[in-house]
Amino acid sequence: MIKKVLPRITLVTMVIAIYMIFSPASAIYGPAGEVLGASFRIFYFHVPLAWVSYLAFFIVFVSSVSYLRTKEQRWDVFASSSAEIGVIFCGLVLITGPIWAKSVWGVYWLWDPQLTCALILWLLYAAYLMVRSSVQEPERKARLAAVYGIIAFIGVPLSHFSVRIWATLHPAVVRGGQIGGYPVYVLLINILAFTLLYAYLFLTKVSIEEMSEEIQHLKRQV
Amino acid sequence: MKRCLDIARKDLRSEFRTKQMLNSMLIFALLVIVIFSFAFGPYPENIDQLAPGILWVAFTFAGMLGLARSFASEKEQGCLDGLKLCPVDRSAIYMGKVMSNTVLMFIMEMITVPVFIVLFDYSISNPLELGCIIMLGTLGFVFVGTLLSALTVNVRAREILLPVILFPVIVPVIISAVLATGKILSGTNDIWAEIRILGAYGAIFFIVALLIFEYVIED
Amino acid sequence: MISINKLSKVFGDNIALRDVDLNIKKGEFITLLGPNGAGKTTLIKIMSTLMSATSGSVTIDGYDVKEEPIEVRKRIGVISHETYLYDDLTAYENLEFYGKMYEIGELDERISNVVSLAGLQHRLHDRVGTFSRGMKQRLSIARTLLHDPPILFLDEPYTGLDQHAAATFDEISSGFAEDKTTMMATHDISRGLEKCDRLLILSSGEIVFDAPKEKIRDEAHLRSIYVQHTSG
Repeated sequence: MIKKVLPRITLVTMVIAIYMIFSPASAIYGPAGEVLGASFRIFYFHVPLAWVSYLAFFIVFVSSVSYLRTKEQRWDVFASSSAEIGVIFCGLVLITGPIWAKSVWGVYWLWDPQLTCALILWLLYAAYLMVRSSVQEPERKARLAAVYGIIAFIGVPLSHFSVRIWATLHPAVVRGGQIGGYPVYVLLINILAFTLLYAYLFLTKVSIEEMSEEIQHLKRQV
Repeated sequence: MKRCLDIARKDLRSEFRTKQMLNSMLIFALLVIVIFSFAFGPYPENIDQLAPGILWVAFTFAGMLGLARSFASEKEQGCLDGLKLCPVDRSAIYMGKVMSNTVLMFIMEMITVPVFIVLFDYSISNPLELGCIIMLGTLGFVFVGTLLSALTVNVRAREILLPVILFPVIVPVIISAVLATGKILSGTNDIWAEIRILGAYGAIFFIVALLIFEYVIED
Repeated sequence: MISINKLSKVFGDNIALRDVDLNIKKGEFITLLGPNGAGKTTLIKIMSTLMSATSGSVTIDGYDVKEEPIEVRKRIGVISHETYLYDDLTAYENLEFYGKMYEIGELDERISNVVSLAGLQHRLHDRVGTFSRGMKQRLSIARTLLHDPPILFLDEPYTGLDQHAAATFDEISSGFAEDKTTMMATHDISRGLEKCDRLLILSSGEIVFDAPKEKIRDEAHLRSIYVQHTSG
């Protein structure tokens, strides 16, 4: 049931969200009230992507804890699926961020706290995938990955604090544009759309993993 | 608790007999400092901004060498199995290893810091604060590093994997320790924020590591 | 003394142990034969709390290996083809370390006892790295006997030993194994037969043969049984 409905809802929401991004009403205004350039609209992708990566990594954490508690393989499948999607979304954050930064600050990369944290997150979960790929035996892979999934996520808040202190040493950064009114709804719709996209990708990945597990099982029986 | 001390004593006794690890850590730390000095030229303008970073890169890179060997050396004659067969809690093994790694790190740091001070011509007005930051930073590094060293011990290409998985996790330690060291070297003493982060980091990861360690060295 | 109940271990696609059931009486010497990959080491690792089973249970001297591993570890000694000894420490320091781990009282006396049993008194304060393979294996016996465990697991103890060293090992081990419950996994059919009270053959994770020694006429008979049970 959910496997049939979810892709359709996702598609519809995505189309509405993208339409709204490019509607004139969703323009973002600068501090002086002037309309900022169209490149600012990438903000509507950037923020939901960042939100989804945090969500994905939180799910890795929860699944890792559950795996160690129950040793049920399905938690490991959840963790690995969520981590892979999270790394992709976080990578997109790191791509859209500089595009936005270029039009606001004139440079691609300023070590601003949010982007720096996204970079650390990306490195953490790329390392998580490295752990997975360097162990072959499934049970041990699941166990060690779960340990790293927990360690990685616990460090995230402290990374935020330290990066914030560290970033204040740099020239003060003003995030471009103030939003209020209609753009807020556009942003919320986009967050919803991307969350649905995540859910859809997650379920697809999990069912692929389940199928490959089933194939392995059948192979064993032959 | 006494068992942890026994494990640490065994590690250190074996290490001090050969001094293999300690020597390579020391020379590596000194090399890092010297190579950075070459790379930045003899009298760089912003040395005050670079120096604390150089110090902590030296500490963490040299520490990485020690951590990588910490559990790998137990593998050699199957000693890790021997240790796991002993009727002690897994967490005692972790604590023992943390102690021996910390001692090795401290020795390396006690020799590296004077060399660093001489080379970069600093006079330390408040050695107590500096010692405190180095201690907290080292503990945070060792708590996580020992756990991840155990995680990589049975893994393919562990020498490569350990740095890759350790560095992203210790970002808060490196950032806070470098900032605080910089402030101390330049004479400002407002390092409370960094101490809080380092303290919280150490406490959180120590507890988590104790809880989680048994899953890491299960076969 | 030891009871194994429906024990299974799965490594991914590979089933190492399949519903193994086994009861071992106090004082029995069991030889466990089987080709490489039959699951001998896996079985011993699970019994000695080093590895957790996928399903099933093992009880040793009334303690479940999963629930009370520390109690189990106090009661077992493991001699493997790996010595578990630190090359950079002396024989004495190695034994002292393990002795402390097992919280043995009057440790010095105990160490000199087990070392004289292994015939290594004259090398007590030499570094283990300078020992020959056979001496290391004898020291490994001393390490195992330190806490006087009622149960012994021997996992391929002859690997890497030459004929002479293996004979010495036999001589020493026959001295202490009498009152202990012992399980030995080995490839060495003649040595295995000579020492045991009961023979097991493990193949593809299942016990395919289980009989007391009296049922086996001689070594040739055992070899034919072995081939018959493991070739299929």
